Amino acid sequence: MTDTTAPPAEAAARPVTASAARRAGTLAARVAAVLAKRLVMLLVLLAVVFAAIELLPGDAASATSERGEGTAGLAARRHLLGLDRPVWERFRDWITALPTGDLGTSARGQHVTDLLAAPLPNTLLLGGTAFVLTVLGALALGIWAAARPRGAVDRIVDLTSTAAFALPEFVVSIGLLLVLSLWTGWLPAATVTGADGAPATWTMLVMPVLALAVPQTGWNTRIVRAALADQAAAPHVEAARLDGLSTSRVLLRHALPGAWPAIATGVATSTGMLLGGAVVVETLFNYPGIGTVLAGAVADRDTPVIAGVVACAAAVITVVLLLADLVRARTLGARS
Amino acid sequence: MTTTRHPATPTDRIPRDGRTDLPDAPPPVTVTGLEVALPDGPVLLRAGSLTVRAGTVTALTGPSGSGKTTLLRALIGDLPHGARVTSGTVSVLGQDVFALAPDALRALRRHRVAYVGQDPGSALNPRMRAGRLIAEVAVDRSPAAVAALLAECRLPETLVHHRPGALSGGQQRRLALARALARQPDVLLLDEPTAGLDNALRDEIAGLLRRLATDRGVAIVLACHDPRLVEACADAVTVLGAPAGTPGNPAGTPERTVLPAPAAAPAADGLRATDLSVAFTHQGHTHHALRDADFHAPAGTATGIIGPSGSGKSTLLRTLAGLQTPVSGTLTWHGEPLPVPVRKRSRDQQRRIQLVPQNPLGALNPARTIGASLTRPLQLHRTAGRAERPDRVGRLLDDVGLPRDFAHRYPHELSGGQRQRASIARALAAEPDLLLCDEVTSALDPATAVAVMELLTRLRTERRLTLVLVSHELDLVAAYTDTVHRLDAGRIHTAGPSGDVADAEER
Repeated sequence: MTDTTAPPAEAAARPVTASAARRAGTLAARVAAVLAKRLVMLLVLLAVVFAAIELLPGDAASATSERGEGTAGLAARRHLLGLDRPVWERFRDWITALPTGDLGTSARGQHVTDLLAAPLPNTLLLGGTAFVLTVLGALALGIWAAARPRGAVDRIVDLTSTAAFALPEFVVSIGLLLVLSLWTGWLPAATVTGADGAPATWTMLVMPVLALAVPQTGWNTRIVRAALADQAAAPHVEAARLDGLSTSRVLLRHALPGAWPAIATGVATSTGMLLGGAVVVETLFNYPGIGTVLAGAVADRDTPVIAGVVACAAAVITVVLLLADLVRARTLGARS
Repeated sequence: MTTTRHPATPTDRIPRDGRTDLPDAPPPVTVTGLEVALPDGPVLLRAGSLTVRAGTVTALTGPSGSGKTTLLRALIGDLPHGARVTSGTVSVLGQDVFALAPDALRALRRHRVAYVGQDPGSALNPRMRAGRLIAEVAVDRSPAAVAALLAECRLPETLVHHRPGALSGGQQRRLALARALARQPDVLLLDEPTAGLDNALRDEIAGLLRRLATDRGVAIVLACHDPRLVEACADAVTVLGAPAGTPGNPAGTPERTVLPAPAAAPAADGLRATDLSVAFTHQGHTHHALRDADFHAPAGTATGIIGPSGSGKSTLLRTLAGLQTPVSGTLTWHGEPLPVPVRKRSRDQQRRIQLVPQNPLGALNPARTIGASLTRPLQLHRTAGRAERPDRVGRLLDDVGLPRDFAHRYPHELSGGQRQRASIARALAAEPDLLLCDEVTSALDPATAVAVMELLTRLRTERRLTLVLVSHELDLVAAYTDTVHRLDAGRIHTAGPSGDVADAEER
């Protein structure tokens, strides 16, 4: 619709900037509201983590004590670690220190922030690379399959993506190790950590990334394919086809924009699974990441370390989910 | 099946630019004895034949459900889902469209034959701006050429930056036409090109089609139920279905049996809207769709809303229905405030006010049969017990003139006019006190349109139904409503007795 009464240019300019500012303001307010909600969720999550570790048999004092330490020694360690205080009190101390960037002290006496400083970037590199590969792979395969519904490519992609998603990361890892390392000898089987705490060469990153990306690519390919199939049935996509536009144009310009919200949601869910899978994959490949730290911390019943890892992972996932929500708002909002 | 030459226009015009043919060149479109059927029986098109010469306009008419759309789509080699050709041939520009290789068929659709569907609103990509929608298929993609096409279809130039969701139904229809013309096709297929447009626009579109045929030698086929459009631009008329009507007036003018119900005694207040304003803001552009509109529809009366395409008629109706939240203003029903949006209304308030939208596909769930769509409101509002529901569905279908076995069909198995009637039946299933109708007769042939209006008028008398009717069909508005409000650029300009306003409009 059009304005039939055209206002003078200067008069029009002011309300436009005002409304633009107002829109930016409301967007910022909405993002803040969402973040606040997620923050409350994170608090609850961390409380659950504290409670869950409390329920595990054994505690940090016995798990990290020297062999043959007496009951008196254990009691002293418990007092030192503050384990003789109630769990909610320890949680309160930990959580109130969190905003200052202090993640507490581990059972072995190290600052948790120092403990995570080197592995966290490594895991983010691993997870980030696998994430990018997953998105690109899933989009390429999903679009390729959708170009000819029920064609050979579509059926093969459908089958392999299901199979890939059904395979756990450790099975994929073992397969990759067998083929790429033991049989062909192209890639090193285990990761050697360099002086700076990062993997010594980039070749050591290839197999962990693939082991993470393959199952997630399977999952996201199915989502992309299904979202495009949904859109293909939309009247405007059918009209574009009847207008004689090329298959690629119909797919990329008419079907894909409407599929973005579904794809963004699916991909965002993958972040959590990628971080979870990283624990397994890092252990298998001896990769110096947060997963190795987490596995050790659970064995030690080391609550501050586990909570620190959870807080970092939750922060990453929150950011990705927020980005997915923005993609959805953008594509849905672009309709009017 | 009859084909008649239109008496008002010469039959053997020769296109001026000689792009296509000598008078005895093979006609660009030839259809002989085409029959299209669904596998489980229903015949969608029975023995359709059609010959269209270059530089002429052929109108396809016939009652709702006679296969007009099926025939048009068969010309671009597309059949409804699951349907197949049981007999006959289709030849377009010398090629058998059903025997063409996919690439050749695509090239034919892309460059030589353009089709514009009945429901252009949903056929335009909601995420693309008008300018890009046209440029995407255009032979000449320059902004100047796009602007020229918009002007040719009587659309303002500022529209290039808008997405289809911000356009009115009539503007969407013209945008879809511009998109088809951008290809400079040899054959142009239009399904109800002027449904939902007012008289002035209809005449301009008719003139445009006439010029395209005469000056550029385009062969135009239009499926159409509007006798005045046929009169204004068609060289020949092909009637599908039962060979009804007389040459030149194919659909015939149906008898009006019931006079409009007398206005009810003003006992209850009815629907009242005060100072309604609605604005849409998109990327810094604020568009005032409605400005300080006052509106009153006393209980048991029929009120018409008319006005040019894009003047805010649908917006007013959607605001009354509670689907659009106004910037300011109040709504009352029998003096009690009506909450906005519709979610905040009680179940009973929701039942009492029903909307029949302009696009019937939007009101019918594609995954449910018509019967299921009609049962849902019966169940939801408990207007009928479980046992009597099938019978109620049957009676609702009878009321809108659809066969009872249509309860088992899905929306995509219905023609445009049949869908519109199913959509009206869905609204009536809730037994509303107030029915808001948005261009409900625009996809119907005159006989069905009158039948639907008679039904609504009967319900007014029997059940004191209050009717608010958005329409561009002034004769229907004049005959079946008591008062008319005329909208222009979001303001209600005149309100008065139907006869007077409609007369003034015609002049």
